[in-house]
Amino acid sequence: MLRLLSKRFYCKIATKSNEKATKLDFKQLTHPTKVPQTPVDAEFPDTSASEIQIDTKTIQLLERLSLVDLDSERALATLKSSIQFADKIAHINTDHVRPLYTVLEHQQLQLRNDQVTEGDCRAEVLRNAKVTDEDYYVSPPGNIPLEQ
Amino acid sequence: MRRHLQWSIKQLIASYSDGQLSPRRVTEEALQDALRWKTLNAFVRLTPEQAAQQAQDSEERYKLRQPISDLDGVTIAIKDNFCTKDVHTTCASRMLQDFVPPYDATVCSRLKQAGAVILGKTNMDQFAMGAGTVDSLYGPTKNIWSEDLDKDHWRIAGGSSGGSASAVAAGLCYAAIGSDTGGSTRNPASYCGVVGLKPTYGLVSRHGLIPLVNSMDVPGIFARSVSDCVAILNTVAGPDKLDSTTIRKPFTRLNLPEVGQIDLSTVRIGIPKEYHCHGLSAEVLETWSKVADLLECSGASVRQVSLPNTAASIFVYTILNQCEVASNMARYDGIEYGHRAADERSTEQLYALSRAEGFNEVVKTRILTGNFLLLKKNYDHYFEKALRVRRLIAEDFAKVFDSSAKEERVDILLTPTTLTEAPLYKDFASLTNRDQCAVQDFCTQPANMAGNPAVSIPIRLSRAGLPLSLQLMSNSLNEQLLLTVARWIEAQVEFDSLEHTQQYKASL
Repeated sequence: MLRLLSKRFYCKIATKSNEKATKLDFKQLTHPTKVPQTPVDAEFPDTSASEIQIDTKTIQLLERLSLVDLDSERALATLKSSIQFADKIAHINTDHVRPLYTVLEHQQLQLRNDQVTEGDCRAEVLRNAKVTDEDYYVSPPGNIPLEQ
Repeated sequence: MRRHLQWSIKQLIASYSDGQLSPRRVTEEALQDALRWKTLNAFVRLTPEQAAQQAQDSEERYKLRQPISDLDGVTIAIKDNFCTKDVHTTCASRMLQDFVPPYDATVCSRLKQAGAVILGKTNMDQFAMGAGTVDSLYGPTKNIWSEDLDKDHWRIAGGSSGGSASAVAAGLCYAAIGSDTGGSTRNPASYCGVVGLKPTYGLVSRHGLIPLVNSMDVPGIFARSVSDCVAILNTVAGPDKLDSTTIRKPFTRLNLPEVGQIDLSTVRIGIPKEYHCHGLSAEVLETWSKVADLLECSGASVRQVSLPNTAASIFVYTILNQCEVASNMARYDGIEYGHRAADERSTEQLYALSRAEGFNEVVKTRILTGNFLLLKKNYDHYFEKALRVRRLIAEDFAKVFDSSAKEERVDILLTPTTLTEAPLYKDFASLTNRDQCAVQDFCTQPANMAGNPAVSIPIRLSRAGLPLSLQLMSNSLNEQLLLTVARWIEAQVEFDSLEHTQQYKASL
């Protein structure tokens, strides 16, 4: 308890120049509030009922592109629900609206000259590879399609 | 509890200069505290040797009366998705569990050059994909404001930079670096009762920040006060040759007026009505209304404004996130770095198994969904469409900040940060990752769409004794005004970031 009190004491010292004001009453407002007191709803179509068909060929393609398995019913269900979630903006009118790729689109960004500015760090770079042979990364045989 | 933790960075530095405290002692105590608070799981790795060396160097500079900056000897923690030279950087994933970067992220090198003491790396959701710091290889981070840290009744710290927020809230360091793609700095700052700043996109270098969504990622700053936050920003901000997406305009250090000198009579505050969405708690609403009222009482003009595309933002954000993730995660194949599976049948087989073992389900699902949305037949319908709606969202901000009629313009937007106080882990964990993010990021991710700066500041405690925070947003590169208003509010509400019951329990 003594330490608790002493902590309080320090608190006071730290804020001495700014004496604790009367505690704010959060229920008390002086002006008519500008904050909406009820939720402002936005209407979005319910896409959860729409049937999402993903055929086996597409699944295999996705697995090849992603190099990640889509092996369980649950993973497929999550994918489908994510697509339904993405469908929510389909109805928004975007005629004559250009895509916004970067918020810096009006600025001239720095491009550096195509010159080597650092080097001599072979060992440092290679040390993160699990398998190396002399100064090379090692990978198993290539050009063999993924087993699916 | 350490008495100096109540101090600002400025006071800490002053005590170093007059010999009252030393960087070595503060660092040693911080490392001890970090171990004592292991239950929070704020740090995934401490770096005691490096920290001791940095503290020693700093101490020598003070002895010579030559500190190199106003951060010299200040203890700082770094989120584990920033590369740190010769220190593991894991993104809290199995994929990068053994990754030791040969270089420092620009944010880290600038902090080191300023003489800061880096204590270690903080916990996060795997690859920063989450809003709770519950999906980490190292287990979840706990919120120090929880009524009970042991049983099933602890609160989440928020995410994805939950470790950094938790470390600052617990007084383990004076400031911490996080990242913010959709709210990952502001969300945990809100739950943990600390200041969380997402600077303007491009103001702070992303070099060495392991990318999640390149067009939205920004390094974020946690501190216990607005002025401490400014001290960190002044050190890390500004153009960087190593990140071509940094804004080239030279950075002018912020210098905030003293609280008594702040005049709000010319400041126009906007209340965007769409930020009152379903699920906003009554207490957050009350807090929001009260602070708007305080600003009005101080002479600021306060008006309701409309950002009509706000509710679409979370869908756009989710689409763009998944698409950029699908592309960004393609680099992890187990050959040059990262987890390598034991499958030498073929290159593709090795890639696939390494990724299967290295990524968690959240990461995998986002990659698969992203690749689906990017398929040739879907590209225009989803990806391009989302980018078009993104422009509408950005234009909403542009309209209220600068292009509408003069009498309708505002300088600052005041909104909630999160919809509620920090949820209980058991409640949060019952939702899917997507729903966790869709609910918790509602108010935060629009600023990432448009690149604007935004800051979350703690206002008061809820009935349950948990921090409630609000968010301020401004036009790009207007951090000076944004943080001036934040500082004014901070002085009115006098929130004490260290006043949690856990600290009291510990000090009894």
